Amino acid sequence: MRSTILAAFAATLAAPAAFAHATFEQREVTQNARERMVVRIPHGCAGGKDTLRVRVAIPDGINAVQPMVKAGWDLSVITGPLAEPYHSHGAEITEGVREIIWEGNLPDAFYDEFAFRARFTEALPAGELVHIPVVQECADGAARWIEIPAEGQSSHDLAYPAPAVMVLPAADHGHSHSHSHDHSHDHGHSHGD
Amino acid sequence: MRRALVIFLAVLILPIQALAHAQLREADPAAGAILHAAPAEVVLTFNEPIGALQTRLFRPDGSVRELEGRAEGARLIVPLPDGLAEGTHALSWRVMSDDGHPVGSTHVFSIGFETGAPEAAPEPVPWSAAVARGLVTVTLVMGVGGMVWAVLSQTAAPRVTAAALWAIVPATIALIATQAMDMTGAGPAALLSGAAWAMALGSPVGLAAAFAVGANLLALNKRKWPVLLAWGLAALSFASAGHAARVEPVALMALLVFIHAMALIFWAGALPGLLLALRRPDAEALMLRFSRVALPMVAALVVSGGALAWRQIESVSALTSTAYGWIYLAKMGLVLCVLALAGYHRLRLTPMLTTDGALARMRFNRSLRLELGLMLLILALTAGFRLTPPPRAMAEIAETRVEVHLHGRETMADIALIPGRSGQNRVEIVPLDGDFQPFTPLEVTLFFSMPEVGLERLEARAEMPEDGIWIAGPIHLPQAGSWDIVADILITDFRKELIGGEISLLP
Repeated sequence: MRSTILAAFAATLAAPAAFAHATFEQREVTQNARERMVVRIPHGCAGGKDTLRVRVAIPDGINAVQPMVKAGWDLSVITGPLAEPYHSHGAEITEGVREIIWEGNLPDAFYDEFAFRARFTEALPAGELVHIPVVQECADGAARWIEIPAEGQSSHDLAYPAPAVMVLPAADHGHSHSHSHDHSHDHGHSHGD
Repeated sequence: MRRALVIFLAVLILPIQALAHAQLREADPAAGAILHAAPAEVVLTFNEPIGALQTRLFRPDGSVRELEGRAEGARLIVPLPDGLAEGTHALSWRVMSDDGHPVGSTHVFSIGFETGAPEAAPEPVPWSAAVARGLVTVTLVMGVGGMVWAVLSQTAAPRVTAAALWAIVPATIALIATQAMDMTGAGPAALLSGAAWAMALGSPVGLAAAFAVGANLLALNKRKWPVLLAWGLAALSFASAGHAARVEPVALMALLVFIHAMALIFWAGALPGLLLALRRPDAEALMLRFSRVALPMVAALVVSGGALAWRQIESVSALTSTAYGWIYLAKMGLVLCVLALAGYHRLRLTPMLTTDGALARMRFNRSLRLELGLMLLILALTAGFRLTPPPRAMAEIAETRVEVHLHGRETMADIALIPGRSGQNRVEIVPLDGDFQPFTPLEVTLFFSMPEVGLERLEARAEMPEDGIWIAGPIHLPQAGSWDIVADILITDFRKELIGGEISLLP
């Protein structure tokens, strides 16, 4: 019964306040690859408020995060322990970026992009979407792009879906390099079928 | 192969995220507005062109009417039928976004007044209203009561009586002003609105004010019969408003308040005159004359007061468990002191006036001043009842509430609708974590809908004024029956959960 209500609720479209969503420019990422991600902020919060802060939460399974500096915006990160430590140049890395924060001012009528680089590990299952929550804070309230679809739902059913990208299987199962996903691998080493 | 499938899926799923839905930007009348007259139409303005799908009006009596809305660009215009009843209306609308997706919500507005607003909904303490009420009570009792004693004893009224008489009108204007601010909730801004004044004058407090001013005019006449009529009008003023007089059985309760007020006005109003009488040679005769009238008055005062209190408080435990009860206990303490003083005056000091005149006058003077002071305190405490709902009203609210427990993966919530009937409801939410322990989310928002009758989502944002309990509303739920309820609980900045269930409203 509850699930029916939630489904019906989602189907009637959770909030009329939901309009153009925050999204990634990319549609897909590759396991073990270093990817450049671009968050697109199409407008301010409900009521036409200017955006003062953009925050991106890094889910488990994404490491080596490097946000890109942005003119006119103060950039900071919050670090914390990683769910899955990894090795880089012989050293074990246990701490990493868990949140990126850009602070500045983006008027409601304007559009802007916020970029970072990060590695998507094999901890993220191939063939599934990885949802990366984004919070857009304004002077009076926030637009929280943090909803993750439940089983049987799609982002489409949600009012404030977290932006998501599809995880593609690692082209090459060995060690990873940021340039490793060229499409020629499709023929040789693909796994599964 | 698998990779190709994955890419195909990605292409299939992701473009959807870029879609846009229509967003309501403006509404006329505004959401929650209380209008003086029925509007001809409702105009909803969106951020993009829309198409009209469905509009339904849920009227104050719960009946539903299909309406024909038309889209003009980004505006949805819904002409309303003539002769809309007073009360709260809910217009449920559904429109087509530019991207082909329907969005809907429910727009609530009221004509004249809000239907079924709960009496004890949390509201700012009406201090200014209580002070104004106290001023009217004191000026009316001391002014009219002083004149009553003056004509009955055929003595000149003391200066304080005259001053109190002149203060009745200003105090009454202050009462109406605070009532206007209270009724509209608009604060001092209400005083600039003629409609707010008219609303206050049309309320029971307006009637009470009219009686008070009438009593004032008659009492200024200073002749016997007009003053006695003023006495009755002043008592009517007390009987026409307030918690005590407005409860079933209204006729009996109003009569009790009337008797209570008659007795009080006589007793308290006479005290300054009695002080003056001490200077006269016939002081003892005047005191005896006062006693003859006062004795039955005191009996009436105690009996009517006891009956009124019983109806309002209803239980002994409420005396110490509610603010109303404490005010009552304090008042009773003072009443006992005043009764003891009155007995002392009648049984000891009055006979002493002939045996040891000088000493008796000195003691009488001190003791009467004390009695007057206590009496004013009692009147102030009585005005203090205005600050707090009586236990009777709280019980009426408390006994009707409906509750539901919502359960999610990470969070739960206990939700209560008060009074749990169709109309205005206050919502209490206690958020719980997965182990049934209370926790404090960052935000809680509730959504109500009734899909079977085509009633679109109503949204209520909750606040946490006190520890652990979130309060939303009052929200107007126009129909009895089973409502779908969804709680949107923001756990951290980046994590939230929607939990849903059903809750049944009584008619």
